[in-house]
Amino acid sequence: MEQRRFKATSLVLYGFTGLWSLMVLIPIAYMIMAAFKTKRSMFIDPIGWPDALNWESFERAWGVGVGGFMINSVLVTFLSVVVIVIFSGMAAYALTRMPGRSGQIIYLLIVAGFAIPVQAVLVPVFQIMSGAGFLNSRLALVLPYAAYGIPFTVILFYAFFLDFPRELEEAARLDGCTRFQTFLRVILPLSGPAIASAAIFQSVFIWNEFILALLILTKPAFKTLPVGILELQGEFTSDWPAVMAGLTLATLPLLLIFVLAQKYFVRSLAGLGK
Amino acid sequence: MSTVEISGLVKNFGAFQALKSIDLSIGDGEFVVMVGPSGCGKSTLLRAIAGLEMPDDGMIMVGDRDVTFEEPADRGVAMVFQNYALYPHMTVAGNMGFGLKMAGIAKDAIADAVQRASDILSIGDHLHKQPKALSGGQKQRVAIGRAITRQPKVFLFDEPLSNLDAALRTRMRVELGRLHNELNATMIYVTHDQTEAMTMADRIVVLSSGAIEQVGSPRDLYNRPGNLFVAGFLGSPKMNVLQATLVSATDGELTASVAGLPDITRPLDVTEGRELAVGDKVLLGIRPEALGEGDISFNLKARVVENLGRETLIYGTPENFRSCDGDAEDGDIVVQYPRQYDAAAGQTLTVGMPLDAFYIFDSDGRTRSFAAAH
Ligand SMILES: Nc1ncnc2c1ncn2[C@@H]1O[C@H](COP(=O)(O)OP(=O)(O)OP(=O)(O)O)[C@@H](O)[C@H]1O
Ligand SMILES: [Mg+2]
Repeated sequence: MEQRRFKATSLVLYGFTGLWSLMVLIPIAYMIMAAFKTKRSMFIDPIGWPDALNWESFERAWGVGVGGFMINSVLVTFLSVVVIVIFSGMAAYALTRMPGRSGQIIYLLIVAGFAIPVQAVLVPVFQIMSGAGFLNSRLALVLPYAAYGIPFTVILFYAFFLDFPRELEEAARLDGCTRFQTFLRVILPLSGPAIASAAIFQSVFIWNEFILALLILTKPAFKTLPVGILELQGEFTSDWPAVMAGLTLATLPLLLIFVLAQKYFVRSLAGLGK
Repeated sequence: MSTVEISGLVKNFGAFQALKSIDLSIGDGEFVVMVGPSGCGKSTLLRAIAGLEMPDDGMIMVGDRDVTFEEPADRGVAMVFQNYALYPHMTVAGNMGFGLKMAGIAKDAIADAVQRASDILSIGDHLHKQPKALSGGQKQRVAIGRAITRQPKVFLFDEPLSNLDAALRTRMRVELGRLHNELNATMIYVTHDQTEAMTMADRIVVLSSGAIEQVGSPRDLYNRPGNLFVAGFLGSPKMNVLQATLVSATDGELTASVAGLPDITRPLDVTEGRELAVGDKVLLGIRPEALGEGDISFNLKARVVENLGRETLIYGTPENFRSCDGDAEDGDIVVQYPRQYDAAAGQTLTVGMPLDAFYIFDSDGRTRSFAAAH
């Protein structure tokens, strides 16, 4: 009886997961498939298979400057993630080691800040960046992205550092490390999984971020992939295969990272970096 | 290779006083063991000496230097933790040399120091391994090696052997004793293990709720405990304690009467303490191993018989008297025979009792008469 109920439950779960995966995968599969179609076949038969493996749309997409957008995206993502990891790591460590309850209180404030939706601060952020004269610069993305990413990453690191064995830090102090040296030489080297989780999670978010980038970047030279690809729509009003090819190119690096470091990505969501 | 002088040391955690004005002098090259019930402040005291806890009051001197407010690394102390606390991302050699590296010592000199320490502890084969590839005993050796490499003036150990199995513990105990002789270093050692305390210590410090109860050589503490707490804490199984009433206190002699036993008369060994008067409630203590043969005998209904091979412990109810407090159940006593003894639970045995093996504690718990040596 128990056995059968267990089977029924897992059947439902598998069914649900399968259905969900299908829903997620179909658009991706279609994107890749459509990238290989010609403009003509896209019009005549939008959901049919491509006639042949046809790389021309990739060439057209690349011609618009996907390569440059990609470099911009890589730079912005990399810089933001570095800033996020460094600041969150140090902040979370300090918060967990503060005497008394002050650390906990600040931590709670940060958690509360995490609840503010990105869209709500869009306009003020734009105004600040514009006022500072940062529009159309990578800094104008790196700073807000870092600000968005730090609270969540602090939460992730906080849980990790809270459980970090104190004896190791004390041993380091006895060995002559200052606080900062302890952090650098003992804690950081042992925080690999937490850092990887945080970095990957933030990379995905920043790589895909669209609205803020759209507001701040108007010159093509600075555009990141999500806004850059929009250009394909403007220039080739009807060139859907090229848009799809551009999107495929944009998705590829992330997909690759995800496949390689899936473990850390799942951990960052499920186990807070452990 | 240095003295340690602690005076008036106080440590508070919020409203809780973990150390209540500790005074302790530790001689050059001495091996001092701190014991006491869980939560009595042993680790706190050790960590205060190490500099990991800032005291609220008092002073700590290492040699002739006041280190009360110095950084841990500047005090000339090294600490070995219960759970080893080896850096998992460094090799054994890296672990052992880390302190010297942080002190800016040249690589060759570090390698030499590590080599020397690893020779002493015979861990030379493992120098390039990661800590996770070591057994518990090897890890503890590395942790001790890490302490040795720094050539500290004072070694601090916080229950270093309690994570090891019994056989390994015995071996490491002997080895630590050898190490102490070899290095001739001052060592302060916290343990729960009575055997470790009795065998390794030059002097034992008994702590209880943040205060020192008594300091002395192991045999001294065992034979002449200053109070009921120390008498009960050292020795396993615990001393049997009986309630009694003083019937005479004259001419340097105390006589106590216990229901069911003849009067016990012992010399008054300790004159300081509260005034003793006839009618006072006192406590009598007798160690389990003192029972067995003696002046009188009594009947004991055995409840539990533990045959440990070398000795036999019998927990049972005496026919005509009662104990209070102790390891056995309410009213029961423990008898320890230093040999195998054929007895079964439920059986009634005749047990001898020497009348001069009793300690007398006054109602403050202070020892006033010591048992005669046997
Ligand atoms: N950081 C701390 N904050 C608050 N209380 C503490 C702290 N460290 C220790 N204490 C308290 O101080 C008392 C002494 O602790 P300590 O660790 O010194 O005990 P111990 O004698 O080493 O015990 P054990 O034998 O269990 O290791 C305990 O009651 C403990 O709860
Ligand atoms: Mg302790």
